[in-house]
This record gives sequence, structure tokens and C-alpha cells, in this order.
Amino acid sequence: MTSFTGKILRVDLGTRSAEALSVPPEVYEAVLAGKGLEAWYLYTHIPAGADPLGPENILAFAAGALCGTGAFLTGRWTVACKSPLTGGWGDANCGGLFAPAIKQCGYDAIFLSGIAEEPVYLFCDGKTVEVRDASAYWGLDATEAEAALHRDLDGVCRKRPCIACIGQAGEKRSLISGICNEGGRIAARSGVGAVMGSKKLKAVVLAGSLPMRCHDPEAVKALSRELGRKLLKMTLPTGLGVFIGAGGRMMGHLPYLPMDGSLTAYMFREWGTQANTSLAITSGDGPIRNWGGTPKDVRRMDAVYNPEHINKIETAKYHCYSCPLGCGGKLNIRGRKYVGFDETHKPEYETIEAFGPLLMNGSLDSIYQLNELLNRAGMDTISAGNTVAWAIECFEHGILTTEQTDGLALTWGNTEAILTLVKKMIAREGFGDALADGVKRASERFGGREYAMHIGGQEPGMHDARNDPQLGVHFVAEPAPGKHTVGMGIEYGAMSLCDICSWAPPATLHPKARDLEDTETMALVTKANACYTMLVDGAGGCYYGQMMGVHMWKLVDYINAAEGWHYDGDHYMEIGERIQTLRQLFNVKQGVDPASFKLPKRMLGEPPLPSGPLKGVTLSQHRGQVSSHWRAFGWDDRTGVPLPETVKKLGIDRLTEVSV
Amino acid sequence: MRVKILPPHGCDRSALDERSWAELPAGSTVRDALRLVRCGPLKAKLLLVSVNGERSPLDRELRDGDVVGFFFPVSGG
Repeated sequence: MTSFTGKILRVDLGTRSAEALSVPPEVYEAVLAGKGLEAWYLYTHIPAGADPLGPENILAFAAGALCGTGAFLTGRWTVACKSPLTGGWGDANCGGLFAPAIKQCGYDAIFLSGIAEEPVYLFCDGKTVEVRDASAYWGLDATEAEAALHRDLDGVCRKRPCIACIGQAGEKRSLISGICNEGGRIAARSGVGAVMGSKKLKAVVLAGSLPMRCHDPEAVKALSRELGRKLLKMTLPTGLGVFIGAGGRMMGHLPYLPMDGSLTAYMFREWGTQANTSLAITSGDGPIRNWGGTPKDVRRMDAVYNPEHINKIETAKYHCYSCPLGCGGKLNIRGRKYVGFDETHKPEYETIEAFGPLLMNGSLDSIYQLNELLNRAGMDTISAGNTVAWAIECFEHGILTTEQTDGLALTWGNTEAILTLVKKMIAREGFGDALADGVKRASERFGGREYAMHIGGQEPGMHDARNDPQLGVHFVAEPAPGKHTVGMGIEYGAMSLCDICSWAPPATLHPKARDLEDTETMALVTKANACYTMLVDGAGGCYYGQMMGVHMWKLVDYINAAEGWHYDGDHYMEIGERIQTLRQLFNVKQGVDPASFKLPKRMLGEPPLPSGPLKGVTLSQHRGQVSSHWRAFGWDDRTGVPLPETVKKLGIDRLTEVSV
Repeated sequence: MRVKILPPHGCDRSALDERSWAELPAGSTVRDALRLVRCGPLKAKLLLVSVNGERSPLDRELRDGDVVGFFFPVSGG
């Protein structure tokens, strides 16, 4: 017995028909589940040239291999499709309870194609699959829709259902919209919400209660007990958050250091990802003033966004499925300036950075409001923040005037104008309509392309490649460009991948400047990072487990115990390599030129910043680094296209002939 | 026995191999590991020395495969 259900659900929304299909075991052995299963299915089933917002595009929801096995930190669900934002591979993931709900309906993944005539939702309880009328929920924000569906279904279903749905942004096919669950937690990237909206699919409602199994549950539990015991014992003196900004100032100038990744567990448990904000502002990691500013421009803002301030109004922590950390939280924001809601999720680092320092906005209260507005609408805060930053800079340079902006004076740090503009983007109203499809489309319409920060159409996550050149490689070499979750230098130093993978270079103490160089070692580091991340995605793992390092979160041992396999780390890294190569092949099939993904000049350090921790940094060897990364993967180092011998070596030629 | 040691800035790494592993005699303690990389006990306590992710006293006996780390939030990230 393995952890896989061995089945997927295929739904055609156009004909309102569904069928369960058996997946051969060799597919799971090749790509696990989660993003791997999606990569295999979407590569083989979405025709070349399919319209991302048309009936041929397929929207996939998948749980990872380890979900439901008792393994800790494996409750992520992944949604994938052809991205309307980039024209190539698109995916996003999220936590909550939706991943096990997929498996409890008896499937590893759900694949939806076609377009419904009227708004619908998919209902599945493990016995029946129905495409139901959703007209009563269309027009509601994601949190309202989820609540309304619970109100109407909770008494009818044997089990309280888990719901993934879109808000107004997805309904209006904003190309920067995502898919929400658990009251506004969002799988945000790649425009997945627009694809769901294009299918007139308001929600996926899962109410199954089938058992989830694995090969050796006792061995899996033993690994989780060991990890849980360590995490429970992990305590530090309280109030340390006030020193994080000062730590960031030191970080900006110190060499890289191999670290014990377990520290990240403490940070996420204590503060959540927002612990990173003040550190990012001072270290050079976090972008300022549309990626053109320096810490000098936002003096004292690290104190504004100190994590202890946000923790003070936290009323409850929450955990994803199978997570002992609990990085999420609910905040009481009643009566605060700008805020029309009583509570919101604890804002993530990416959201605070994108609407704080990136826009020179020093109002934490406005971040709460923006966080709740965008979560409810189902709009990606990373993309939205980058797009607003472009608009402000264009206004500063006279490319945009109040005539185009509906009278809004878009100046840096103008909190009221930012709030108004975001509301217009969500409603696709006036000038907001032009911004609701992201910065690439907006700059193509109005100009100011030099201020439009995107890679292949997608806005980058809130980490600066000038601070972390490895991240710069992933921003452009990743088949879903601009994503910040594939790899970073500082994470590599904490993961000890060299202890599970024979070819992964050891992390070393070295000056940051060395990471600017194009070397074979650097290429193997970025390859190892990408392969391990794909493995984590196939397992349905959490990136915060990944960051703890292989000695703390023992992914290889977990998979072997769950599946009854006896493979080593090299074998599993090859699974990651296979998933990444399949995703790259997806782009090639869809006519996306991998070499067209480029870092914006500003992020290359052209011109270099005049002060701060990134003073004078230019990524002059970046293109060479990308070529070397491709070569390390066995892809053409000029075009990024996987070589035939690589496809054969990884068995992808045979895998793509497997049909269901 | 082999132990992985991830010392903070300012320590001596010459006794570690390229993957940060070191040979120590059986029965060695955290204090012995710190001595190997010239990390003083005060610095180790300030930086909350840990073994396998758990904060540990300096007299804890190490086992083969243990990882000695520090809660040291400041790298060159």
C-alpha cells in the first residue's frame, strides 16, 4: 500500500460530466503527486496554443503524496493551469484543510476543463460528483461565498465541507487573481483565479470522508513525534522581534554562513512570515520604492513594521492541516484607521512589503485593510503591489496624470490614494480596470515600461536578486517566472542538501560577492534548490519545513515510510528534476521561449543603487548563470529547451505516453 | 563518530570537512565540539547552542550523526 489513492477526477464543465480515472503506479513513482501529477497531466492534455481563458485550458487541484499520512508540514494543495499572465506554466499553492479534502473524496487530483454556461460550483463527497448552480454565490467575495456555501450545505453534508473559491477578482478575470480557502487564504500566483473565473466556476466544494492511508503509518508517526518534540521544546526569550531590524543591518554586510535551519521554525511559529519585514527593509532583501530605493528612503520604517506590533493584536493562531508550527493568525483590527473590517488574517511578509516599503507607505493600519480587501477579492498582493508601484512611478514622471488616474494623485506613500486605487482594481472600475491585469499589460497600454517590474509577464516576489543572485536565476529560469519560492542563497545555506544528495554542493562560508559569479558550483546549487523544491511540491510539503533543513524535516525518510520505498536522496532529487523538466517542456509546447524571461534592468543593477547594502551591485554575470543553470539541468544552455537525451534519461518520453 | 557543526561567524572551521562534518571521539560533548571550532562557552550560550534543533546544555553527550547548530539569525542573506 502507498499513500496514493490511485485515482484522479476529470470534470468537463461544458457538458457537466465527470469521470474517475485510474492512474498507473509508474506515474506516481516518476513524479509523486501534487505538482508532479499536475505537470504530467497538463503537459499531455492541454493542447499547444490553447487559450488560457478558453475551454481547452485545464484547471487542476492536487494534494501532495504525503498529505494524510501523518507526516508533519504536508498540508499544501497546489492549483495549476496554463497561466493567462505568462502564457506558459502557471501554479500556486496554499495551506488550510483543502488538500486532505481532495484525498478524502478518493482522488489525488481534480482536473477541470470546459466552460460552464452559467455560474456553477463542483460538489463532491466521495460518492457523488455534481456540477451545481452557483448563481446565488456569484458576485460575493471569497469569504462571503465560502460562508454562504457553509450555511447552505453544512446541515446537508455528513461532514463540514472544505471550499476553494474565487472572489470578485477571479470572476472579473483579473489576470492577477487567485483562488481562496479558509476565509481568504489564497493560492495567489499565475492568474489561476482568472482561469477559474473564465470557466464560470465559483467554487470547488469537497465533503468526502474516505480514509487516507500509507504504507507504514507507525514509522511516519515516529518521524513526526521526533519533529514535534523538537519544535515544542524550541523556546527563545520573548520580545526578540525588536532586534530583527538591527539584525538585518548586519546581514546586509556579512558573508553567507551555513546555518541551522531550525531557527526558521522558531521565527515562523512566533511571528509568521511577517518576521521578515523589518529584516528585509534593512538588509537589502526587500524592495523599496518600486525596486529603485534604498533603506535611506524609508528610515524608521523597519520599526513601523516590527513583528511585535502585529503580534500584539493577534487574537488567535491557526495551523494548516498536519502543521505543528502555526504561522497563521487572526488579528483584531476593530476601530483602527482606514479599516472597515473587524478582523483579518495576519498579513504575510509579501503583502506588507508590497504595500509598505515598495510604495513608501508607512501605515500599518492601511496594510490590514488592503490585506483583507485583497484576500476577500482573491487578488494577488504581490502582483497588485508591483502594479500600484509602477503607477506611482509613472505618475511621478508624468507618464500618467490625474486625467488617466480618475483624479487620483498617485504619490509615494499616499495611503488614501493607494486604498482607492486598489478598490478600483478589484472592481475593475475606471483606471483600476487597466491595472487589474498586472503591470505588463498596464505598461503596454500607457508606457513606462522601464518602471514595470515583471519577468515574463509575472511580477516578482518581494525579494531582491541584487541581494540574492541565486534568486535572480530562479526568477527567470523557473517555468512560472517571478516566483520567489523556488530557491534562495540564504535558504540553501540552511537546508544541508549536500547531506542527502551526492551532487549538491556543500553550503560554505563565503562573501556575498561570490554569488555574483557564474560558476559550475553555483549552477549545481541553483539546480539542487529547484529539484528539492519540486520534490517538496510533489510531496505537498510546506516551504517552511523545507527551510528547516533535511536534518530537521526528514522528507526522504517520510516518503520512504509512507510509500514503502527504499530510495536515497539522489533518487528523490531526480524526481524533482523530472517535475521541473516536465514544466519546462510544457512551456516549450505552448510556444513560450524560455530565453524571453528576463530580469528588469533595475533588478540587474542597471544603474546600480547609490547607497545601502546593495550599493554598486550589478548582476553582470546573470545571463551566464542562467545558461549554466540550464546546462546543469541538461537543457540547451542557449535556448533553455530540455535536450532529447535529458528527456530520455529522465524517462519523460515513456511517461508522457502513459494515458488515462 | 561524525558530527555536523554549523558554527557562527568568527569560529575556526579548519577541523571541519567541506560539508561541515567533524570526527570526534565517542563520548564527546557539546563543549568538545565547541572547543574544536574555537567557539567560547559564553558565545555558545548567547547564541543558544542546539543539538538536532533542540537547545542543549554544554555537557550533553553527542551521538554519531548529531547536528550542532546555533540560533543565529544573522547570515549574509
